[in-house]
Amino acid sequence: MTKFDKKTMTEVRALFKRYAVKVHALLPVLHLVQRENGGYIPEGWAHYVAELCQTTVNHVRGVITFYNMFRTEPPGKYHIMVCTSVPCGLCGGDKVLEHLEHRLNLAPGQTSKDGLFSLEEVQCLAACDKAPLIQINAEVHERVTYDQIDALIEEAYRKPA
Amino acid sequence: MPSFFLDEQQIEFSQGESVLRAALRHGRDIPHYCYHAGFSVVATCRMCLVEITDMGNGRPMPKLQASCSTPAAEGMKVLSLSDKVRTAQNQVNEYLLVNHPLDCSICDQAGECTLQDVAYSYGSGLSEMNYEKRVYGWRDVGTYIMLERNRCIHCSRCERFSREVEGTSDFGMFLRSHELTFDTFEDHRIMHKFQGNLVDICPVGAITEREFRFKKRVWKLKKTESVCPSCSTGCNITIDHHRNHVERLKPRENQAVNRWWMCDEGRLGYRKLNARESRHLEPQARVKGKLEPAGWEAVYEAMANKIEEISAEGDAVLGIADTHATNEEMYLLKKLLADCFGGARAYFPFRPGTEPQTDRFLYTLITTDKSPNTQGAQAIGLLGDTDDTRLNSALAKGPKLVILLGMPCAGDKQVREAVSRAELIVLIATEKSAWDDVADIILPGLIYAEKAGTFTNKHRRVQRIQPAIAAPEHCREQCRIFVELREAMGQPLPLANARAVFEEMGGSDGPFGGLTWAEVGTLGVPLNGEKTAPAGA
Repeated sequence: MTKFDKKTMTEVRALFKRYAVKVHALLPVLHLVQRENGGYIPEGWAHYVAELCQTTVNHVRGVITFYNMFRTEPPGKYHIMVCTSVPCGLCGGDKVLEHLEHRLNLAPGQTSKDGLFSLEEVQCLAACDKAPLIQINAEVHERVTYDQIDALIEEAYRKPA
Repeated sequence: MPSFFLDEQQIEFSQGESVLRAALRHGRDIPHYCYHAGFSVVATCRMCLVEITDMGNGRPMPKLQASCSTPAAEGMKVLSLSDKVRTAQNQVNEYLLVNHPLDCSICDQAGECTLQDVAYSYGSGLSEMNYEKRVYGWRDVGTYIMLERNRCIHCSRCERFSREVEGTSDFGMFLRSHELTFDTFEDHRIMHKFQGNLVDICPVGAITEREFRFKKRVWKLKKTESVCPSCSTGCNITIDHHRNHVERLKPRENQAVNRWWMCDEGRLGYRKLNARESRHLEPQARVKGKLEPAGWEAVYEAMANKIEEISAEGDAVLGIADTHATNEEMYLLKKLLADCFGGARAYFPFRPGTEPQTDRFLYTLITTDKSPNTQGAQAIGLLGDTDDTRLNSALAKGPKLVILLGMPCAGDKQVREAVSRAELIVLIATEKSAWDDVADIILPGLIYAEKAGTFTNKHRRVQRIQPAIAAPEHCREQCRIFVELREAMGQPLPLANARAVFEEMGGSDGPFGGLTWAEVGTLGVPLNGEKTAPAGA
């Protein structure tokens, strides 16, 4: 249902109190939407959020598409983000991405059919001294190697629940 | 008034005005894409860069500044033509051409495209870009417009127009950086009646008019300044025509009337100007119950004879004018009746119409009164009521002679029947209507694009129309018809054209007293001693 439940609404109201104008709370509200919907913003929520924050649908839609961290497609259970910015790129970030693409048979931006993995190419995860980096959901893995990646994937397969 | 210097030229500005705005007001051109006086300033295009060698306090600005967002200051010294500025503008334009397709040869905007003009005058005239360009998919966004996103240079004028002026926020800015796109949300199509303005404000060919698509190269068009007759607002327009064929109507800036805008209903009015089938193309007279084409001189003579034969005066003669007629024509009708028929009177259907009550100025442009000169008829002193009481009581007296100007009350069967009982019915009209079955004599007049004259709009502002296209061979200007008719009747009136009529109106007392043709000019003036409400007040 494209509507916040009672508990989330209290959070939204608290957010609105922190800003002078409702529309200023747009970013945190969108994060709530993403949290409540399992990591993405489904179609239709833009209208609801626009109404809630007293702005236009096109503004909300513009904000959602502007920021990388808002997703409009459902991510996998393990959402893997690979950094390919300059420091990571120099340390083999591109090769890490290539390896993951082969291993999971996915292109960046895609989600596997079983809904277990999704792959995303991202810019800087803010730990360049430990490049190359990948982030799986909220967890950052530093100086990754092929073996490490394979181990992580095996582990994920072993406990899909 | 405080002033600053733009390339040594002293330019006055009002408090808070930007450098660009003040410069444009003084006829100086600094190239720009995103700036439009009708919206907020975003300074995204970076084309209007200027060098400020003195901020007014003796110190220079270290970097080039966007003149649209830099407020002018007393004693400021600004350079817009220096080498540094020209190099920067050249480079900015080069970056815009990175993704802009060079398809000018098939683009409708070519010839009135700011990017094209600037590329030639400030840039190298061609793109150095050798790589593949960004390509967007095609989108169907509106009923009146076409969107070609590949040509978009991301100035965001369309987004600001729909958010700030129009109010529906139909256009949005999606994604970012290289993929940034201006588009509508999901499959939402723009449906409002002001889409044509998006075409006008788009500096490139990203938004084009469906009506005008692939029809004519714009440099072939001649532009004649006129006024839109589709409703009582009287938006200032240019009639764009080529080889006696009207191709489109475009709004013309007039801050006191329509600002920069115009509605699509008005724009579509161009179709009617090219219509020939629906028009009266030669004088006709009823012979043995049937309308037969006749020559002008013969018709005048027959009319003069018949009028003498009837020798009706006062209440036995009556004129009915349509509010599509110009001020001059109505004046001549009134004068003809008063002078030649012993004080006979002219009537008109008074349908004042209403303006939408809204905060959005744009929406006040469309009124419910679909004729341009209702206020003019009232000011000239034609008699009219909203329910035609006076007209009906005059008709009840059984007039012998009726002169119809235009097609007043053409849809009113009762009025038509009452008029049909008269002995002589003269119809001066441009278009075929139900009156044709009633009229004894039909004199073909000219439509607004073919003649000169003035209209009085809803705020009682007098505005001028000018002839753009040539009239059909056997049609004559309504003013001329009145003058020639009086000559045939032996009561000549030495007024050569609409201008002479207007000068005579201006020479007398009354609402038009004191106004001159030159004073009305291209932007119009309020009626004598009145103040029109400024647009959007």
